[in-house]
Amino acid sequence: MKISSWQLLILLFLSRIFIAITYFTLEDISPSVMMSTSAISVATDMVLVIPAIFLYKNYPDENVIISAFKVSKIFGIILTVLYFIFAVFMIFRTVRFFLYFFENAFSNLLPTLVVGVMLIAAAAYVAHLGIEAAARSSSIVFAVFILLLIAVVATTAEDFDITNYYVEHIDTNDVFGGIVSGLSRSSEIVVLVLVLPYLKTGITKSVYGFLLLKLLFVEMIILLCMLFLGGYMEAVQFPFFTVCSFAKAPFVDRLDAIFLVVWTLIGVIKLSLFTISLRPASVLLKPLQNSAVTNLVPFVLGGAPALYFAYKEQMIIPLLDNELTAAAIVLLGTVIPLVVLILRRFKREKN
Amino acid sequence: MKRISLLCVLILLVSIALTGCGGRKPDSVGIVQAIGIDKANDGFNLSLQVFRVSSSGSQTPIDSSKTNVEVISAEGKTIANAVQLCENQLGKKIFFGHNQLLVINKEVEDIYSCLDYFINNDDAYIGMIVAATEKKAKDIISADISSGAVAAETMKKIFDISKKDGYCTDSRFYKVISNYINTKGTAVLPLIEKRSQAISDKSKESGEPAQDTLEIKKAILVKDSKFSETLETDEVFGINYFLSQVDDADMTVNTSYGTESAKLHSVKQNAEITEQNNSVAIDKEITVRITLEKEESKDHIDEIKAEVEKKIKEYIESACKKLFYENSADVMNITSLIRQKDYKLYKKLKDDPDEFIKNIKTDIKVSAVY
Amino acid sequence: MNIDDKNYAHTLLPESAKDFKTMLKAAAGNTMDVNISDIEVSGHKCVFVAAEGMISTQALSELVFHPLMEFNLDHKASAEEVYTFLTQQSLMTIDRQELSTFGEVFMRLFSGFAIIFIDGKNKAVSLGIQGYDKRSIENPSSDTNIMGGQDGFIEALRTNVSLVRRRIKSPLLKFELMQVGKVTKTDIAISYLSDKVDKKIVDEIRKRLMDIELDTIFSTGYIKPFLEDKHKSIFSSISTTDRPDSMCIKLNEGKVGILIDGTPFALILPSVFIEEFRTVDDYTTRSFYTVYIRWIKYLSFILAVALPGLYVSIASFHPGMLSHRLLLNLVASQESTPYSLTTEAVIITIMYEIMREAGIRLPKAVGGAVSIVGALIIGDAAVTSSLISAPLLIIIGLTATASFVIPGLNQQTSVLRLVYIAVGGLFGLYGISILTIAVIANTCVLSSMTVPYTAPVSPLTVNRLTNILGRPSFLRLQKTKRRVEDLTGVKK
Repeated sequence: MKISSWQLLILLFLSRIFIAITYFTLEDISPSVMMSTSAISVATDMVLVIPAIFLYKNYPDENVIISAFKVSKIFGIILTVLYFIFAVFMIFRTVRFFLYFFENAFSNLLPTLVVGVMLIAAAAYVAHLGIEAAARSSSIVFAVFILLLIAVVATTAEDFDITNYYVEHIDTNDVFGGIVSGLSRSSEIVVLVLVLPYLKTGITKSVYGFLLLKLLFVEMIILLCMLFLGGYMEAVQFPFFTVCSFAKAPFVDRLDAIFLVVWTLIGVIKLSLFTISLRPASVLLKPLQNSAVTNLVPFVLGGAPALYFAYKEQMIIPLLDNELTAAAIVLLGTVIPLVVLILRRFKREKN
Repeated sequence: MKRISLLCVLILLVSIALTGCGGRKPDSVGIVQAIGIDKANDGFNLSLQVFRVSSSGSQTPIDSSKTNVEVISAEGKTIANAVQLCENQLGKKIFFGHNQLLVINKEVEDIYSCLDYFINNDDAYIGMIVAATEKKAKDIISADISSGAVAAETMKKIFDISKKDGYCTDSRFYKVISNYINTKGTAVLPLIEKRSQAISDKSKESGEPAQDTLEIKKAILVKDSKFSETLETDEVFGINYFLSQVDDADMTVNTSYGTESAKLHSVKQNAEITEQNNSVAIDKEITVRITLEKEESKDHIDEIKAEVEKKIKEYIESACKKLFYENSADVMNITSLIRQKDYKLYKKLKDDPDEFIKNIKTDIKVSAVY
Repeated sequence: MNIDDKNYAHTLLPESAKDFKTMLKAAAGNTMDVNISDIEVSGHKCVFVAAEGMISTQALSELVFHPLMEFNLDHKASAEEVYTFLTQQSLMTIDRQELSTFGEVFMRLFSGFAIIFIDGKNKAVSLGIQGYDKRSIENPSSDTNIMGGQDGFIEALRTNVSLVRRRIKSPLLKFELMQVGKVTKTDIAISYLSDKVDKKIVDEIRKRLMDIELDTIFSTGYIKPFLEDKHKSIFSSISTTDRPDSMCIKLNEGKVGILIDGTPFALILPSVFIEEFRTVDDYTTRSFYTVYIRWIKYLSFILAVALPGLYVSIASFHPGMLSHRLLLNLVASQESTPYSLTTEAVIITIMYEIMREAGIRLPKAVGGAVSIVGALIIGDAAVTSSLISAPLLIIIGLTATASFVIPGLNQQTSVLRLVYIAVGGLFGLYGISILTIAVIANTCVLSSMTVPYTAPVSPLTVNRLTNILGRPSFLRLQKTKRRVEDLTGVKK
């Protein structure tokens, strides 16, 4: 089961845009600073993905865990456990964030538990169907997302006020904060090093295409919110969602519920990607050979705490922008693949 | 096994759906069309214009010749409290998603606390018009306007037309809040009045009850979350021309050939900001395209253009005088403009906006194009 | 030798006519439709066997008995002489086969062949003089169109083969005959264009058909599950058609057609989702109209599946999405109805399915009355008595009409519609989105002989997107060869 470079690009993009379209303004960072730091964050990502690219080019049918097993079994097992924990954590964080948004934007709609269970069940199902199903579905979801964006821009464009756009000067604190913020939301860097065996060809095109597309859309969304809402952005928690609540389409007076539909579609794809990415390496470790273990256990381990914290109404949003999360992503997405590459080369030269 | 479980899920879903669990009937929510907020002894008096179907039966549509609304009121310490009491009165959950208009009585002391409730309400429509009134807000939203399915539809149309003609500023909810946040507590709201007029002389003679209508000619300034000065019609025009919010407006000018009418279209603008002697200077160029109502007027187009330019400049200058110099109020996006053009200057001024607004120098150039 | 109805298939024919008759009767039992006659051909004893009603009596008399009577040697003919006459020298029929086992004898016998067994020779000869009653060629019943051919497949395999052959007069068009079904031994013909098709697909199909262990094959539904890929989806990656012209178009794209004796429908694979929206009329109308109608069909599919569910979910959970006037009208119409929108929608949908099914099963003369009863009386009465609201009735009516636009997806739209209503009514647009992604994933995972079912949309094949927008122009078609293999995403 292989996917094309375009499909991988879309998968990674959707995974990232899930957070970007619920771009929120909890921190005391202006949207102008956010735009500038996003660009810097993407530039950083472009450097951080280099080990993944080299890993693919040297060992195209292996991901970081499989390569680690070829160095030594113990090393492989350790990495399997690490990435498994990361997948569980990301599932927890994604589900909790989803429920947080849902509670704030659609508080009267459904009980949180029902929402969470349905989301996890759908993601587990898509993950069970495999990477091809997720990749092909993502193309369709991407098209729907673009349609939503076009509808929103088209119906709000006449109310854009150019005076709402400004460029704020940034300092080193902003730069560092932006990089940390961007990194802690970029779990795709880690997912990338795990899904490499699924890729047919074209890693560079895929990865850099994803980063550029991400930058384009993140900037576009922040700019849209700035131009339309202006100062109102500071009063609301999810500005893009608020813009959608004003936007219209033929037969539909508000697009906020459509936003929910699109966001849910994207969220399911994102969640399924975490367990799908574990699968190539799962054949090497006996407990993981059962697909139910690889598929369901992370969802249970990650989803249950998320549902619990949602029930307790405890905010876990600080987890989103956190130095620890950023460090973990750099470690698992860049440092470890680099170490594995070096060790493989060392072992090859020794032999 | 898989097929059995899928079948079970299907049967379960359909059975649950048949029990009526989940969802609400659309008629189980009270659809609010307009909101009025008056001052009460201890808090607010909230009035809601709620849709109430005048003809029932699943085949008959709503009857446009009837008002199809009812107005309910409740007093509460806060808006949320008042809303809850209204729900108790109505026996339905209140839905603000289609609310068109929010009218606030001039005597209400804290405007922002009124608006804050709607910022946090998931359903509230951010494009609703926010207006003020010197009379009771309840009277405004109780206006007996029988055209349209509900009165609020017609009210909104009145606002839309008035805005296009320059009589009313753009007071959509999110715009008001945006300006409020940018300028730390300033906004301008249209002032709305209710008038009763007979439909025709015949109906007047026969003693038929007069129809209500709304009139918007003035505006009111909000400063530090309180209502402040009233702005006259000319000053409202000035704001709208300054912000290029006029389109398809009529203007009557006096020329040596008599009174002439011109239609104004697509106002364009260009602004430059400079810092001069610790104060801010704004050079504004406004271009207006005009069309004439009478073909003969073409012969003295230059004079008409000159008069139009003069009039627009007068409007803007009177608005600037009232707003900047007398009230230190920025409702014309000056702060945003400075922030956009010169962020360093903005940083210098943002902590004391009143001071720099009071000392602002404006140089307005208007050119009319035919 | 002992023979019965279980071991007859590989039992060799005896030499003596007496043994042949005994063994034949033992294997066939006392069945009344097997006629066994003793005849003499130029003095040599033979046995003539035919199935009741399966052979043409005119052909029998003119093509078989007459030449046999004419064959009159001046001496008593030997077994070999009679056999040579039957197999090589006479011009009885074109379709002559030598048979050496009882399995072959019964195969031919019940396919309408006449069997002549020669005493002293352990072989029999079958003569193709079929004359069983078959339906005449009529308009296709399910895939109707305006300007394409008006002939459709019938139950007889050989007639269907000729309908296809008439349209593709090329030796590259191949038909491979095989028998499937342990008891029925149903004739199945695999057809393909040898220069267009991927041989691996044909081999795979052949292998899967041969691996079928069913006793009986009576329709396409028996074979479909064996040809589909392992992933079970609500959609089928194999399409059916009862139109020879439609089948020819698909054969030209490198697809494989399977004709089954006894059913007027052919199976076509590999098939993709978009093909359900393609008809022969697309190739007979101007391209702008084809584009227009194609998009009407896409819209119809979405309406047929999702409109009631969307309506129920939006009206119940997200009334702000509806336009102001529409919402007010909706509220007005719901004022006096007793049930929630979801319950109403489920009831109406089930009522519609009952009427639709009744309309299919009832005799044609009465079928029309069902639609009148359903539409006018029940629907109108339900609205007048405030049992259901008028907008919902309009929605369901529109949905029902839309579902007829794509008859090939009728099963899926019927079930999905109900699921969408239930899910939308219980969970709002959130439920709809969860269900939608599940359906999309379920559809996307499907492949038909390595061709992704959602091609050319996903995976994206840019140069085949014209197939989705409308149809490629004939000028372009004459320059490029379009094959279904191009959709696998494998670059050659």
